[in-house]
Amino acid sequence: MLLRYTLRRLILAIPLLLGISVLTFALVHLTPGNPVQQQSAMNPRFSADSIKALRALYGLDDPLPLQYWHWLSRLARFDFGFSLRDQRPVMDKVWAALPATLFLNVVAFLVALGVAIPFGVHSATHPRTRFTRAFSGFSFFAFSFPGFWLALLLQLVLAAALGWLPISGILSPGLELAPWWQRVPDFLWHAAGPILVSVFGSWAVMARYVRNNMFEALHQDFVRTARAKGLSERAVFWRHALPNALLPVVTLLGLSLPGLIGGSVIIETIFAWPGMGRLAWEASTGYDYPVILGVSVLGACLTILGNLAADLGMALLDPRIKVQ
Amino acid sequence: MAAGRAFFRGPTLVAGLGLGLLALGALLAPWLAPADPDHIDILGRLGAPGLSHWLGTDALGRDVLSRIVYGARVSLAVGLTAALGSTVLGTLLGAISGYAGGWVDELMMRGADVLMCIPSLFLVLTLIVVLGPGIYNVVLVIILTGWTDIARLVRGEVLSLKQRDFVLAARASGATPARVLLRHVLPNAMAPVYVSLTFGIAGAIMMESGLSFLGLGVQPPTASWGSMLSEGRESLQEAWWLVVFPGLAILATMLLINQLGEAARRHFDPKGGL
Amino acid sequence: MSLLAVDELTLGFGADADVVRQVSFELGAGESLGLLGASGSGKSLTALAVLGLLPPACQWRAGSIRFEGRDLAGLAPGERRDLCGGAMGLVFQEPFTALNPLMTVGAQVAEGLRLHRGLGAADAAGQAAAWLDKVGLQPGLEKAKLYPHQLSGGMRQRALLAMALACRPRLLICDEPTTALDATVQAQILGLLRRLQGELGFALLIISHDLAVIHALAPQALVMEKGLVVERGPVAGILAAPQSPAAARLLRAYGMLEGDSMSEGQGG
Repeated sequence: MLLRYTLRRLILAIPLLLGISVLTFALVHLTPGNPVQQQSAMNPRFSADSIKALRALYGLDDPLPLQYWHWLSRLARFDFGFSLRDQRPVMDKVWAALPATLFLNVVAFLVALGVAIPFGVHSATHPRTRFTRAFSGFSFFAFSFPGFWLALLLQLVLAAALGWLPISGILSPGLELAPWWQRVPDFLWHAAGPILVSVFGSWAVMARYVRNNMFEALHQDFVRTARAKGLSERAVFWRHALPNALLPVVTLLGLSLPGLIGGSVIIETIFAWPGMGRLAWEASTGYDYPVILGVSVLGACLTILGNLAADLGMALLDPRIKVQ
Repeated sequence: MAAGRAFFRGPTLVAGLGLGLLALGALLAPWLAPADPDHIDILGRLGAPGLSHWLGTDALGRDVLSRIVYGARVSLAVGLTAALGSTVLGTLLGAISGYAGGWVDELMMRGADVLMCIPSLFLVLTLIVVLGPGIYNVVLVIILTGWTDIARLVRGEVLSLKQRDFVLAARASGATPARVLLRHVLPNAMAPVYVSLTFGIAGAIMMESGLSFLGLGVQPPTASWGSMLSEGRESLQEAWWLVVFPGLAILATMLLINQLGEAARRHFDPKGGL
Repeated sequence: MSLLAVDELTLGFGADADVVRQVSFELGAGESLGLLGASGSGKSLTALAVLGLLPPACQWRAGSIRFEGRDLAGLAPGERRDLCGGAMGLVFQEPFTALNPLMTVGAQVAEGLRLHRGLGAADAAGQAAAWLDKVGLQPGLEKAKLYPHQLSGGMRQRALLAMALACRPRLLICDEPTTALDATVQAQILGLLRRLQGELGFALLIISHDLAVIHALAPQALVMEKGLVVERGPVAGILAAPQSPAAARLLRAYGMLEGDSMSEGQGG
């Protein structure tokens, strides 16, 4: 039953993937002044060979439908061509950058959730205390705080002035060949800054979401029924209110997915964290078409997969969802 | 809408006044700024905040305060036009999609789905690469990528309003679908639009700052809070004021707009807010 | 000694006027009593007060409630909870939202059994299934595995009855138990209630704005309006000749007033 549900959802994703292929095709081929002309005009570095490579890559001399077919078949093979910067295959670069981004964003998401759930639940169960009001105010402040400014301030204060955190990078120089038990703590130390900035921005929104769900759950009729049965407040909270309040968190996960993959562009750039975000930034300032398109398409694929996983999770957890 | 006075209560009043002052300051920048924001003075570069330059000078000796005042123009201009553009676009598309139904609805929603699949920053960067950097393209890109959320919301409202009696009455009276949509349905679907517009301005300002910070937005020598932060980053250790003040400007603006947005949400959509 | 004795109960919110004013009544073991009133008359709050489930904003301004001789106000929260569900049961109006959507019906019935009777998981599950059988959800073992969204309104109300009665309370309070259901199902639920009361012998406090519902279940009734008891007596007597304008209005709304040639159709 679950397998059929998964297959059905995968099939539904095909039009989406086709749509993405059409969109990216349009971006490359139909914009005024095709990329090759723009490239060479703006960047005299481009040799005749580069231009020839681009024309071959995008088949810009062929009729349009044929071009699209070539594009589609290459996308299906995840062949995005070669980076204009260093001629490496785009997929290689993206693949190498993916783990760093996933680590950063997934850990940040989990930490933010870990902070948001207790705060959100508490402010729903104690609606008018001073603590809750202070928390609301602080979360509003955090929500408005520009993330990249926080990163810069962190670098300014903690790194430059106090030296508590490294300014950038993923590993201290010289440790690349060190044994794992030396590399891991160093890696985590480097990850602390980016994760902190990412969490600061996202926990406020999550906490509000959790709070609203918890508040609603606490005022549902079935909570009254549970109390009428004589259950203790603890039992009412843990067994009836909380499960119903936290179920939408899986939905939240689904909604956060694009952000989990692409949301860290600026943070990665500031901290020189070698992930997909920084790759995207390098590609955009360098007009490296193949790479930026590859990053976007792959990001979209990951989002679709992730949404499917979130839907499956909901289907497993919520008995109201029919898995036929 | 009624209850204007009740809306501007307490912190919201402060926010409204603050934003009004900000907008005024941006408009009157040429008269308010103490110096020419583009005036280069190499000898006076990286000067600390003091009497002659209240917020210091940057790496080219330009007065930071003046650049911040002029930067407000950029932020507000981009924020307002981009947010307005994407809200109008999204509202129209969502309304048409919801009202027409059928293949029009399917097509538009699939299109929105495709756009929403690609992580938004990647999409924005891709579009900037295709279109080129600069302030006008930033506005265009924000409009092209920001319409999907409000379109969904408006579509939802329109779908539920479609079946209401007053709509059926309007249709029965022989009005064209466009007239019914624009004069009867849409005015009743506006609640999420006001909230979305307000938060959209904040989002657009953040996006412009971020893009300018990355070097893909407003191009030098024009002053933008984001590009000032990027430039300040180079001299991070020697000149803390280059990083602190532009960021403070962004933070203050965000707090003011978000406060208005929260008030709008409480007013129009009481269930969603804090 | 009566089972339940409510004496001059007075409740209110904040600085506003009393919403329940000096309400007094007594209910003996195995007896049935109806509380008739329109919405806003304070009847539901009275019921919530008995179980100690008043909303936090509601103040207990005067009066007392004694259950089996014990003053409910003086009880510790733990003792109060033991009475709830254990000695007293409450069935609410909205079967559609009164059940936890994430737990099976059987688990929700068994929860009370495990709490008040100290039964182990297997025993509780077995007895829960037996109770579901008893209220007409047959076969109980199969129905116990269903989730609330898989049951119709009438079936959910039966499940709620099973939940309320599983620990064999001595008092059952039903607040508008059939209002959300359609006519045929209403009749079935009322019949079920009568049968169960005959079998189990609990005292019944039936709250409704529909005198026909009360008439089906209780010989005596109180009429409440704006928090005051405005009439009391045998149900048949109220039907035949209502003394208070409130009762007359409710009867007229249901087309039950003698001599009325037309029925209104709108509920109170």
